[in-house]
Amino acid sequence: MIPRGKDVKGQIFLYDFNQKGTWNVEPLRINGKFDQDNFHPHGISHVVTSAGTIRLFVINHSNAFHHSVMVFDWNRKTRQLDLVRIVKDEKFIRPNDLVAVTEDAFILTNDGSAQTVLTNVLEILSLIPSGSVVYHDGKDYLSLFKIVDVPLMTIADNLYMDKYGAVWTGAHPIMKELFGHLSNCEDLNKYAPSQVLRIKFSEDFKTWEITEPFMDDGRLISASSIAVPFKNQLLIGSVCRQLVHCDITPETS
Amino acid sequence: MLHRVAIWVMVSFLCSAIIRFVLMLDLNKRVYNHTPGPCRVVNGITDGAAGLEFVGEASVVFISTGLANAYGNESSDTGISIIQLQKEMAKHEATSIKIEGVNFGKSSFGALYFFDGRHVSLLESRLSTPSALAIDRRRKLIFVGSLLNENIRVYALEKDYSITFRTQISLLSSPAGMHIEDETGDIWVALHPVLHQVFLVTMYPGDEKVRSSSQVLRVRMQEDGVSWVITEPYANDGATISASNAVIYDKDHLLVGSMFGRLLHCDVLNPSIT
Repeated sequence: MIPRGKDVKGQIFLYDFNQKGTWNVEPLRINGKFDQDNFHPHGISHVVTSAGTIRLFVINHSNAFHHSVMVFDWNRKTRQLDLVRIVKDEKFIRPNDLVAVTEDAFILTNDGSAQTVLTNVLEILSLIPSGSVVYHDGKDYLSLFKIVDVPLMTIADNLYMDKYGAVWTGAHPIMKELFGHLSNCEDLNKYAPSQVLRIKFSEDFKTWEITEPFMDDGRLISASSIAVPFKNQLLIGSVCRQLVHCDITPETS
Repeated sequence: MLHRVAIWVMVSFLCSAIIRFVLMLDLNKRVYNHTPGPCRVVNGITDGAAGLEFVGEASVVFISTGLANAYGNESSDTGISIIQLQKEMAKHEATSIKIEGVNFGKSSFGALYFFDGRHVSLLESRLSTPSALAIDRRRKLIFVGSLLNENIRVYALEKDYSITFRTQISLLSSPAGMHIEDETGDIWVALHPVLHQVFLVTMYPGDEKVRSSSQVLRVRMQEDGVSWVITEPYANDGATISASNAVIYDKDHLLVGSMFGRLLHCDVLNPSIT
């Protein structure tokens, strides 16, 4: 992905699903010592600590393509983020997304190992499986074992699990249009299709049903990456452009 | 040296033919389930609903059933059924119609003919696998689908019943049945999105475990008559309805008929965006 334009600023926003009749996001102020010019947030996850605090883990990429995980606590009264610490590790090769496991631990994905634009293109074309999954708590190591592979025949991006155990993903159905769009995010004449899939598993995870609650050719939302449902509402985020709010019903989700 | 070049040309031609055939089978393709609203299976139809004909004046749909009989499944019952569309439908049921007399039909491959009540004349030839056919009487248009080319050819119907080619709509999916919504001119298409699956279904017409994906597209022509917008109101991996072959849309009623199995009725909750 080519660096963004000069006027694009890395930020964390808050969206309240309970607002009525409005569709506004609130940019959150960040308290603490960090470099705003090198703040480019990517994957994000949360956990509610034993003290009741909402803690956010955010993957950050600097201008020099160095990577870290920033830990914030969200202050409910001031509605601001307080920086707790910045985690760096040699295993953060090219982190994409992460999930919080405890208030101190998370699992993180590296989506590849190439560090330049040219080697990144070669890596994607070669289909070499050079990504990895890293667990970090500063102490122990955990292991994963595979249960099932779900062939989607689309490019699934970020995942969200709802309270019924269904997995929601924002996907990119056409790769060449995605590459054309991401090569110049500021060019509004270029856009890529967006797709939201919902995967409902059986009890033993051996079978599943895939439904498609949302699909767009890119003119409403370009290159969707994540979808979050909440009480007949669906919030769809994109890689570098719009945020879309939809009403959904159980019959059409 | 020259025959070596000839061998390489033949090998590359063979490779491209194989690749094109593999792409045609849609091995790398699937649909993701979604519906335009609540759906249910219509009672009374179990042996296919491969053909649907809507009579707007009476709000009834005629349903042809039993196509599997022609594919070697002799236990499939053939006949015509009827369903009445109403604003509030308490029951979704089709009843069969008694047929008196014998029906006879013939189809030809790769051409479009016109029969005026006395003579058969050729309208268009060299068509690749023509499948779905529909007429827009109000706007005097003829629509011809191609199963393997995955497109719809649009013709203007002239006063002397000759046709003039107007435009070609690429669908990226194999059309099987078409319906024109009289009021808007929208083209509703029932398709086989994964072609190798429907091949398997036609080889095992009585086996319910052999399924094929179903898809309904709506094509809305723009004012210029040569550009369009396509949306996908319905898609299913075959578990609910297998091998969709016909479609009818009227006043938020969507009927999707399968080749050998069920007839599905859906409410369309948001017709403006579906």
